[in-house]
Amino acid sequence: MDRASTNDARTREARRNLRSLIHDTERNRHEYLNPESDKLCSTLLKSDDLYENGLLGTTSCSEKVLEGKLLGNLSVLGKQRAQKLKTDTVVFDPTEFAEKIVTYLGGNRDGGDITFAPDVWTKLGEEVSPCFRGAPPLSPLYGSFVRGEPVKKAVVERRKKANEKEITRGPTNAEELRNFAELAEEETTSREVTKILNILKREYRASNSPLCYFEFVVNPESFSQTIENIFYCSFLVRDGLVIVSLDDDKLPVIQPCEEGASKKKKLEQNQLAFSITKPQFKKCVETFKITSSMIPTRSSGPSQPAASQPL
Amino acid sequence: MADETQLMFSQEEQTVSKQSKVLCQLSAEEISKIVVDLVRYLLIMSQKKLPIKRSDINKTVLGDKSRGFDHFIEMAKERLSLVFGMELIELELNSKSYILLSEFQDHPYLNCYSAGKTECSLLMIILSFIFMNGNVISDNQLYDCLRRIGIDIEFHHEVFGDVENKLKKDYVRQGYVEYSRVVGAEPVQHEFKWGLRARKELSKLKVLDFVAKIYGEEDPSNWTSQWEQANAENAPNES
Repeated sequence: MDRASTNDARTREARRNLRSLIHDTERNRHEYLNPESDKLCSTLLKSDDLYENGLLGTTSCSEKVLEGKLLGNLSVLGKQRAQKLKTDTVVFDPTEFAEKIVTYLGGNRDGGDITFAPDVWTKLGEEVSPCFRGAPPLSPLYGSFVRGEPVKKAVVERRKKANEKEITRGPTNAEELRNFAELAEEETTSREVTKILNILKREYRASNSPLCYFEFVVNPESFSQTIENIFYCSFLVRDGLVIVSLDDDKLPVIQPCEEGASKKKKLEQNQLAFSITKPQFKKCVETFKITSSMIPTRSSGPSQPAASQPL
Repeated sequence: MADETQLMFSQEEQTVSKQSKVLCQLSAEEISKIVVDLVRYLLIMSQKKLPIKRSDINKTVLGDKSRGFDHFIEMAKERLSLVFGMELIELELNSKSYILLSEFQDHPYLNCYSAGKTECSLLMIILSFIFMNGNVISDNQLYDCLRRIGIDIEFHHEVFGDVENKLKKDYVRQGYVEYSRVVGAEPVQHEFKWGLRARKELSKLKVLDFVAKIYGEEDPSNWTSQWEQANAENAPNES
């Protein structure tokens, strides 16, 4: 009985010691990893001691498990400590490397804050990207077709829904919307045309002679606006509100018609095709020394999204 | 005699003949179409920088013709190499996930990085820290170093954004770094290592050269253990 109880006490003590050693290895890792300290050795020796004194003669598993865990921890620590052993001629210090990077990139050290020029990372990336063997980025040469689909789907769904519900309501809704759209376009065109006619009349009254056609329509800042101006002028010609003719120098000039003249005479049907390319446009701007447009630049309206989509 | 030859059919040959059977059933046009689809699928999927899994390929492109996978992938490999100059490799032997690499190295006009140049620079810095520190660095140490170059993970960086997330999630998913728990430490610590993709896309020699450049006049061979590692990497390629 006595022997059994002393054995029990011994094993309990051994277990307590083992547990405290294990706890030590886990909590004080930095001490174990420190190449200067011999804590690793001393703990190993302690556990050896315990084995000699406490565990001889016991058959219970829990001490063995504890001892196993202790040895496991010690071996992991040993490996990590070995990893830290540097035998190089030049030892790598991460903080030193960080400082060197800052210097290399030309960063400012204001006290603790480090600031760089805004494009420093892009430049470094350019230097460094040849080192990577990654697949290059791909983008479709002519753009992708993906964007077109959602618009189509919505329209189809709307039509389907309309069919499911009252048949009479569906089509009229669509027509109404379409009419509005058309109306809107017509309104803008006639609005612009009247605007241009008014500008022309004002300039004509000011200068008292036919205006140079190009000086009138060309907008030196925008080729597209110039084309639109020519387009609107053609409406004025069609309706007989302005006259475009060639002057003595064979340059086209434009002037508004006298009021009521269009109603008196029967309009002659004359057709003329007129083309202008971008280089020609630029030449016009140079030749006629057009610095500002007579017709004010219009902001691009909502009717232009189709043009701005990638082809 | 006929019996003997039949007995000589090994397991491998049976699989090969199964695949050939699949191919024989298809016309040249169909095969060509599948290969084209496969190439296109691989190109598009590689844009996300995530490894492409064999199971996804089977599901999306091959469908019921998955038995011929090996043949198709070989043809796609060839096509990618001849036409696009890209190499299709498995991340790890038998891992069944693939990535695309460029076949050109050090080309002066081909700039390869899809996420942009800034990502390149951040990755290079992080991977150099890890490599030079002995192929592994603790998370706290890495964050400290990043702070010393003006990248504090606590704050949103104006160029890189949420760096912590990038390190722990994005780069891990893409295969550039591995983020794992340190064995046996309490409280819990983590460490970073090079990921599989980093090992394929970068060479240690290049990283060492980069580090030497940052240090100025240093000769890369001064870092003896890293120098040895870098050369050991190249040696098997030189045959």
